[in-house]
Amino acid sequence: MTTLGQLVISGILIGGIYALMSIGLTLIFGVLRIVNFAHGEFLMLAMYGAWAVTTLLGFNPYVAVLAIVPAMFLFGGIVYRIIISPGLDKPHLVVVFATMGLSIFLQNVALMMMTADLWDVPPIFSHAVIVGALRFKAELLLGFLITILCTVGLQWVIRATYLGKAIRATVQDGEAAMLMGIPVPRIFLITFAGGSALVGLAACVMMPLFSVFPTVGLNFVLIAFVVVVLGGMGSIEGALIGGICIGVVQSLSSYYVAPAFGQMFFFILFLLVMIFRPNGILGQKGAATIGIND
Amino acid sequence: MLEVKDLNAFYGPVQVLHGVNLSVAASEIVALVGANAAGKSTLMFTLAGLRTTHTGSILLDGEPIGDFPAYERVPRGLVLVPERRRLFPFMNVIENLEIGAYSAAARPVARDTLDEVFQLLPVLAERRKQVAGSLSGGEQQMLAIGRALMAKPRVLLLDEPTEGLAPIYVKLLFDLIVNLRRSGLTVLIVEQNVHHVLRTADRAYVLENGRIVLQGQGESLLKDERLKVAYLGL
Repeated sequence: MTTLGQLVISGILIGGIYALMSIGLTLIFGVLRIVNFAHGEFLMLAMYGAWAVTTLLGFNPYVAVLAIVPAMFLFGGIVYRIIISPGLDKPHLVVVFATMGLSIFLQNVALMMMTADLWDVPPIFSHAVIVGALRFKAELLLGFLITILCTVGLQWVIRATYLGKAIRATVQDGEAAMLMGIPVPRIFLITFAGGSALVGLAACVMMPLFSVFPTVGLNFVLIAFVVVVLGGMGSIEGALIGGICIGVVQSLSSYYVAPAFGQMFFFILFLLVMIFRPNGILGQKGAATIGIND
Repeated sequence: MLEVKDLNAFYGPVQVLHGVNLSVAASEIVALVGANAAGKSTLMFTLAGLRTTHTGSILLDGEPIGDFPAYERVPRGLVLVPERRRLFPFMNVIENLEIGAYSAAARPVARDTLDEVFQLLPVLAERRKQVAGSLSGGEQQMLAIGRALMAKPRVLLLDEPTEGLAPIYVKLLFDLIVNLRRSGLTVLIVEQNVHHVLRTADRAYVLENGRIVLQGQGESLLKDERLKVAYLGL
């Protein structure tokens, strides 16, 4: 029983991390209707950034958030301007291949500059958190809390702020939004940069838990895609639920079956959801065409 | 106030408007009528800055605005209420109105404008927390106009505002337009409801196959045989 409880809670916590790295992807898809295939490489880049701030400057990765999040916002803005924006009014495949190209480019730049070695940062907390018979890494618990804060905060921005309302208006009817004076290209820019900044946050939270190497993004982007589709494309709460589902399935199957089968089991879950609830857990019918959930 | 000179408009390679000239003076109500596919909505979209490419000039108070994107024409006082209303369906009445006041000039006075809009359109005040998609057709049209008024327009473009409305709302709408003009607003309106609109409008233009074929005083056009010809394509 303790083992089961331990596994479920660890799964939920790691699922929170998966959710955090997926929120940016779902936000960008929900508003711009594009899939950023370089999402994993954004994460890789930000993890190297967090590693550099930690190792070279001697701060801890949570402090690195202050530098990495704005840097990724800026990076996202530049990528939007140069690569995404020119492709938006062209057929969908243009942006797909443009972001894939960017992904390969970034991987190779990383390989050239950082070699294929694995880099990591020393553990932040020397003790695990112990509750009764359960114990887990403090970094995971902190990561989970950051995910919850981030989800709640982002929901608040979208529901209550003027920028958030403009984003929802753009999603619901882009032309009508422009007729009301909303600069839609600017909303797209801010959303893409904001989604990239969230990847920066995720990278800082993940750096104490995982190593970084040039193709680290490939490992995680697959999970992120599953999280986003599972939760419902464009849904922020959906990403949280999708992330937790995958975390728990992975954690249970790794223990009871074999670690190598973890991915297989969450893909089985994914297939089941796709068969019985093809719009995802919180997805609206037709979300891929009408926009983020309201 | 609003002046259009030699306007040619295109959807991709297809030319829809041919050498359109028209002008709307301050506080005037001008109607634009014509058969289906005459180019009325194209003209409205071109004025608002959406969808088409064009040659020729569009002047607002003498300033050329033809090269501005749609969202930069709004702060200059030109606001379109598009065909089929195009509300934000999952947002409530208040949120739709708030979005109307997005532009930098309108936002600081949004509170006061909101009171004015509620006074003008009391039905919106009653429905303020209701989601726009759940309103009746008439209420949605009122909201679409209210949303445009939140932007503090000087020239209001209305595209088929009575389409699909119950007669009671049609009357309400034309009363509202007359009311708005009294407070200084300039209105250019596209309408299928020819009789009603020509009685309300000061002047009218008749559009046929993307060209202006006829213009004149509202009521007197009604008696003009040529209108029937242009309109019915006889």
